Amino acid sequence: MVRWLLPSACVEHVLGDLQERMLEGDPRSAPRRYILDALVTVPSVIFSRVVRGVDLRLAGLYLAAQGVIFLVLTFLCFDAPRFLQTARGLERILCFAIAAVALRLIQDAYRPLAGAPKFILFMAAFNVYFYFGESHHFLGAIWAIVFGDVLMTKARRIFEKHVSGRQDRRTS
Amino acid sequence: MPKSESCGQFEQLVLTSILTLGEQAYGIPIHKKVQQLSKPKSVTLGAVYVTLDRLENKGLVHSWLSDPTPERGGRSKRYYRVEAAGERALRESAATARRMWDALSEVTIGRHGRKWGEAWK
Repeated sequence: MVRWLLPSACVEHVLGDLQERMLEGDPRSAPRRYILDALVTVPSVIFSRVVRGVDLRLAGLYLAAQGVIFLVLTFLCFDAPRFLQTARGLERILCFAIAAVALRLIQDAYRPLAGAPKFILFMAAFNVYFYFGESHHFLGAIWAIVFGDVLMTKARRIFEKHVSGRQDRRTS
Repeated sequence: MPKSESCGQFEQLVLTSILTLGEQAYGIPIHKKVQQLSKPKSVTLGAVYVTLDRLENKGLVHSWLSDPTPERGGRSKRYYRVEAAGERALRESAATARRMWDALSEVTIGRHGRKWGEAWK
């Protein structure tokens, strides 16, 4: 469980440290101490990885990408003018886009994602809730999951290429 | 002279622990040393990890994974070493703390003119 929750860059040494702490002291209370240690340590490690990897420019790109997806779907799937004007649609789209970006940033902390597609499930549930709840349009929800993820991945690749390209020019 | 990063108090404790532990500076011993230095305040292992990550981001420490060790279920240890920038930052923090103490030592309190902090020496 702890291994599944930890970002892959931290699994090895954090699990080892938790195990070493568990082996110290009374063996009868070792499992309880391990669980308590894990409950306190794992969220700190995840938080630290997220903060370490966050770049505000990339977060802005993600927000733009996810916002565009939600806006396009609003026009495709339900009565856009009514939704945007009378149902405070723009604010709701912005809130959902911010939440989707936050989930994506947490997911990025788990890179490389091999064997750990944790937050794709959250993204999927989240998008299904939004589109199914708002429009009862299941295909729209699937569209949001797939294209939202694709667009944000593309945004990340362009950002990394642009940033690393500028860094290379600066050092040469 | 290169500009040095500033360190918070907890970062100073972690840097001091890494320096004093030498070649044995990995998660658990660093945590124990920090707990010793920060008594009576208690310190969680998670707080130490967060600070180690922050120090590495600032370029004040460097880390690497060791070979797997059988006593830890075949898992590696992540060792830390203080970089030159980290030593500079810690030296400046210590110098600032010394100047503060010297200034405070001149402050007298009460009608007997007792020196501030005398009881702590």
